[in-house]
Amino acid sequence: MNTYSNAGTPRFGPLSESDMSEAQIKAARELAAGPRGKMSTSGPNIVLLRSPDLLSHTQKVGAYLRYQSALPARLNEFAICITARQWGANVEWMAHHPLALKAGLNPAVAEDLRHGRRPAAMQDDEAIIYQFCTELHQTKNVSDPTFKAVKDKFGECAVVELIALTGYYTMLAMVLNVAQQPLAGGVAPPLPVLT
Amino acid sequence: MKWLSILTGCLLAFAVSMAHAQAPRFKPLTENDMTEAQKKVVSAVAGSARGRFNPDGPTSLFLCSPDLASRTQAVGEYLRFNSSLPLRLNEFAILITARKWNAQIEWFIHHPIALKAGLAPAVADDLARGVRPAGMRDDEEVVYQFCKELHETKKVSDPTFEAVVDKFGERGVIDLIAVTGYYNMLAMVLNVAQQPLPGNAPPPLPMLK
Repeated sequence: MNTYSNAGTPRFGPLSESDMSEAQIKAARELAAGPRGKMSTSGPNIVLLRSPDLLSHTQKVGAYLRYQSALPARLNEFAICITARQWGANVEWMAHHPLALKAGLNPAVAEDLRHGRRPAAMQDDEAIIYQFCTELHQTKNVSDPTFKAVKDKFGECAVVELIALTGYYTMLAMVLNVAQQPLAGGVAPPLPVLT
Repeated sequence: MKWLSILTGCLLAFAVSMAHAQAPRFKPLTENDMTEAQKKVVSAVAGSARGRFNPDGPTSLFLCSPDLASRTQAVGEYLRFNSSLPLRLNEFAILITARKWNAQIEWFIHHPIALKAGLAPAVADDLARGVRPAGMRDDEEVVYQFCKELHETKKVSDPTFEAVVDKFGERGVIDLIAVTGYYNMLAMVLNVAQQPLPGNAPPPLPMLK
């Protein structure tokens, strides 16, 4: 249970502005001018920049989901951490675990999640989000009570935004996992490989 | 005991058909009910390369949040019309994703587009039944293997990665991950919404274990 995967050799080299095409420079600058404030050199966007027109569209979905979503930041970041755990996406976890804690997620909840256990000390709204995301990833749909719990608590549109959020971070996890994107500063992978 | 197995078989068949007949969870949004912001997204979609707004598709579900709808549909428009992958392979990757997620409506919409783009009907039929398609072309093999590994193991092996890079370049790998990742997200929305098939069409994908 407590083994960590060898992330493998990074499959995309670093991309500095001097190596970029005009289209890449434009997409990178547009992202940096948005709410993120900079293009992270260790996240998924620098990988997505290999397809600059694509990145310029995907990053706007990400900006919406991170900064304008209907869900409170604590739950939004919790859902991202659940997605990162489902996908074993270490870079995604590393980036969002601190944001989740800063937004008020109990460190013990994050710690249970990290180990692949149902967190013991979730608040009611966290349990609703956890159940929804876990069912969706594991069964490809959610049960009626699980659907109703999110809808009653946050409204119909929040259901769509929650799916979009976990779906978008699934896509980013796919990018990171295929790219074997290294962890910044050579730190050890935070997510144990689950069996 | 024979009658028992027949009865069990009937119950199983009934359960399988009921699994397809789940009640839709979102009310369809008609133009009369739409806000100005929602109408603006609908006309932007209709004015794009898509040519029309499909009320049965996922964008209608995103429309409750018009800002999100316009941003997701722009990703979809890129992936459908400006991807670096050839159309036949792009649509094949969408069908592979729809099959992985049992997303009936996603398959229903993209199956005819894939065939029109040149995918062999027998390849699509095998895929629908959940078997590795016989008779794939070389480039289809490469795409199939990549998507299958990614969905089943959450990563891809070195030879599988290299096969896609060699054939389609780094941009091609990214466009391929994005198309299967984006349609993965759409399948999530469609499945949770239990979005019905247009005109009560029978579900095209058999349920797999």
